[in-house]
Amino acid sequence: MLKLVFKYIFTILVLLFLSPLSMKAETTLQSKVDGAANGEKIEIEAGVYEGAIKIAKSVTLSGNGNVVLRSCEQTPIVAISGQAVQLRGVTIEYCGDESEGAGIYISGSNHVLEDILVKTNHFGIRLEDASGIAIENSSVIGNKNGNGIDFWQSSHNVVKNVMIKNVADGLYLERSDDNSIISNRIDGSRYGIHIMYSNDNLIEKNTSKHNITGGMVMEAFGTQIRDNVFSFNDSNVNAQGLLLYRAFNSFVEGNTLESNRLGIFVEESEENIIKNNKVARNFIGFQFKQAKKNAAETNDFSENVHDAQAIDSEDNEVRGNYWDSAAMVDSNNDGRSDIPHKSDPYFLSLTENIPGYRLFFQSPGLIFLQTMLKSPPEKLLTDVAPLINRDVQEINKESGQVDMVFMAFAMVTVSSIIFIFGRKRE
Amino acid sequence: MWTIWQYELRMTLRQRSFYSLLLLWVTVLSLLFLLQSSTPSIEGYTSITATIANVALYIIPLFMLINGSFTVANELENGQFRLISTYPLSSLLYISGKLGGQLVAQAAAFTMGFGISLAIGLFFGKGFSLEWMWAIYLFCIGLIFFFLLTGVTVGSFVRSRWQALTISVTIWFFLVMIWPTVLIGVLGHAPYTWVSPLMKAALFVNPAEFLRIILVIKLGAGAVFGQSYDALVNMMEAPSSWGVIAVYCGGFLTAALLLSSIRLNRRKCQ
Amino acid sequence: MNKKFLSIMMVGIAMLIIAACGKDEVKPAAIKEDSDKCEVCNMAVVDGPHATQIVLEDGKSMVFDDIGCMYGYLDKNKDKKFAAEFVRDYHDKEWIKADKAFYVYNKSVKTPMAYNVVSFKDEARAKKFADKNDGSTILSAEKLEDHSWERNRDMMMKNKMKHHSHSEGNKMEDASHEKISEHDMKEEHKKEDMH
Repeated sequence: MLKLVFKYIFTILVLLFLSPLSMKAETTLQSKVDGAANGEKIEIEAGVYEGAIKIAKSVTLSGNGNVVLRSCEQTPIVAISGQAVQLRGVTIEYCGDESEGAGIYISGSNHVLEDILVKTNHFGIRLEDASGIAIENSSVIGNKNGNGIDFWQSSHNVVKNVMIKNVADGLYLERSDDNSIISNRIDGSRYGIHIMYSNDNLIEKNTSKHNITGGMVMEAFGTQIRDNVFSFNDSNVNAQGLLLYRAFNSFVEGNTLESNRLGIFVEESEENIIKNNKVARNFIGFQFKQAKKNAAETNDFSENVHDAQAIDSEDNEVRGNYWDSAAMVDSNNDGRSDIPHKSDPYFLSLTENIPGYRLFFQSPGLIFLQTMLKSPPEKLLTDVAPLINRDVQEINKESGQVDMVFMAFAMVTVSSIIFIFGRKRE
Repeated sequence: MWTIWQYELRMTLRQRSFYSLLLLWVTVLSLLFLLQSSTPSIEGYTSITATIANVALYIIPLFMLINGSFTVANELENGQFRLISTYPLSSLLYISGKLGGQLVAQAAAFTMGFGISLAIGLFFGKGFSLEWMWAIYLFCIGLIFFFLLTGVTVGSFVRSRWQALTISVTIWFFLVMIWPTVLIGVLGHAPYTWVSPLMKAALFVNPAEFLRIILVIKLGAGAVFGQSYDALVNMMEAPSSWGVIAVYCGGFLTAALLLSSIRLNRRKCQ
Repeated sequence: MNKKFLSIMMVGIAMLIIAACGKDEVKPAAIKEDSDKCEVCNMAVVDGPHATQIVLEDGKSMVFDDIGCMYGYLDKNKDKKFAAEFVRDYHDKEWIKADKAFYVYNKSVKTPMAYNVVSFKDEARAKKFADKNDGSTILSAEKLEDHSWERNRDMMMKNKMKHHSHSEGNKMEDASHEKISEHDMKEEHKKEDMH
């Protein structure tokens, strides 16, 4: 008897907990959308909505307070098509196991998404045959299973101020042209920005850190890559800041590539211009492989453990870069060194066929071997006129090195004590 | 053993040449720390780190090998060893005492040099990350340990100081300078699939390479060695790697001390 | 120290002899998702049906993220000695020798590098897949040798046109459409230049 009463109370409690918080999206939201006229504004009450909705007419949906749309079904939670749909201020939680599943699916044109947070088990936002879409001031947090924002045959779209974390590819563009990817931030993902078979896209002022690869441009024409930060992509054995693979006529300017395993890697790519980038503190600064007719000018290469290497590459114009490892003499005061700066590809060619030898990276003995077996001059990556000076960046002096002062003091004291007592005792 | 230890320490500390070594550390390290005035702070695995590590690899093993082998060879040559042999003292304790005394003296000199250079660097406005400093310091102390040990062992095998010098330089040249050349030469004949496992095995044979790889991995740059060493790098990144390092040090120490004490015992009998 | 080195060398030589004697069947290595990358295009290799593999005679194994990448490699490296090439069954991911597999080329099948070819362990499976997906061509291993591996945007254009005829075209899309044809010309042009 008592058991039954408890069960009854428990059931009521469960119902109380669940029912007022989560509503069926089909009955509440979808019917509102269906009933709305073109151009109407719909406010969504705060709360959790279960299920998926479809928006195919020009309406504006905006969340009032904490609005969460959640679904673990196969279909995307919000499917937008048609024209000029606006979605603002909602949280989307996709918990489904469908490998192609997504939080938001977009086709059609001229939609606006703003202040959206997508938490997803697979894809975040998918664009298919979409154009004129603006996605701004939003976030996508994934589970490494799918891409953050995925473009398929979608051109003339803008993605701005979006924070993407823990996904496969932060922004993935395939067969998508003339898109603008501006001021986004991608962390902890596989590839930050990944472009494939897509032309004339603009990648500007993005920050891509702690990914396997910061930016990856493959099979693409005319990509503009400006003022981005691709840094700390250093923990995977294949990690790199920026990779250009079969990329043509790209313009890479003013980017910062710092502390990556490999700063910039250009393979089988032609006629790209790489200019005014800061390539610093990478394990390997710059690498050309089967790359032709590219230009690398006025870049700043400093503190890279191995500054540059090239194999099977011809007709690349490398000049006027700053190399902190270069021996510099400027007899005619033109700001350019008279001594060309040469980088030997010995290590790269040694490890290309037998990667096992990569354990010798920067081994003193290997440097010794390399100086003995000088590669023929045509195989060297040569900067004919290295830059003597560079614009000194703002040096933010680290204050509060108290711990270091203490360490230095402790070391001197301890060793002094050993000296004194060691000498004295008879 | 402690008498030998104290005696060794005192003798070393009283030599004037010992302080020239201290001066060398201060000069070299300060110059390295002050290199590249444009960098506000030294941290991580960068060209500066690689340069410092390589300079350390060039100098420390050579000096320590010579010091270690000389300290034993000297006593063998000038008859002091015969004198000591008359005391009831085992060769193992004798050699341990010698090693201990040298180790403390050399480590103290290096610590002093490192401390002074740090102070100079800080005075000139350089920044250092604590983690980086410890990594480099322990790397150098590790080099001192392994090569003093090797030096003392060499010392117990040679007949004269002259021979000690030749063998020391040969070992240094072999382990530091032409190590990759030799390995590439030998492994060139091995089937492809054996290259990486043999490289890993060789790593444990050469303490200089072992320490260098540990340094790079501990500075978070293990990825540079590529896929073949991914498992090794992951293992060495974990905190448990200190256990591996400790076992390696212990094993090396035991092997070297046993080897040299057996050799010295034989000499006593002669 | 030298003794140790000597012994290592001895061990090495012993291994050499063993390796030379025991010549067993070539086996594909497992895919390591977090560190394998395609030998050709540098992309990470997913442990899925599109992964392929070449084992050289010296035992070196190379992985590819797409069948097309592997054939590209074979084409470019004819001087190398290949022990075996492996592809995977589209359904159960079992490794099969490339010359024993059956292939389906279908423009609408998405593969990592857009070569649009998938592999099957027997003809029945390939046929089943082809029947399900319109526009499929079944290729035997011999026929695959002559496959053009086309993946330029010609075909994409056709796809796009199809899409357009279905949807109501708007100005935006038309504009991008034109742009693409322009690019295609550029690409074509490029190809001519290279040859």
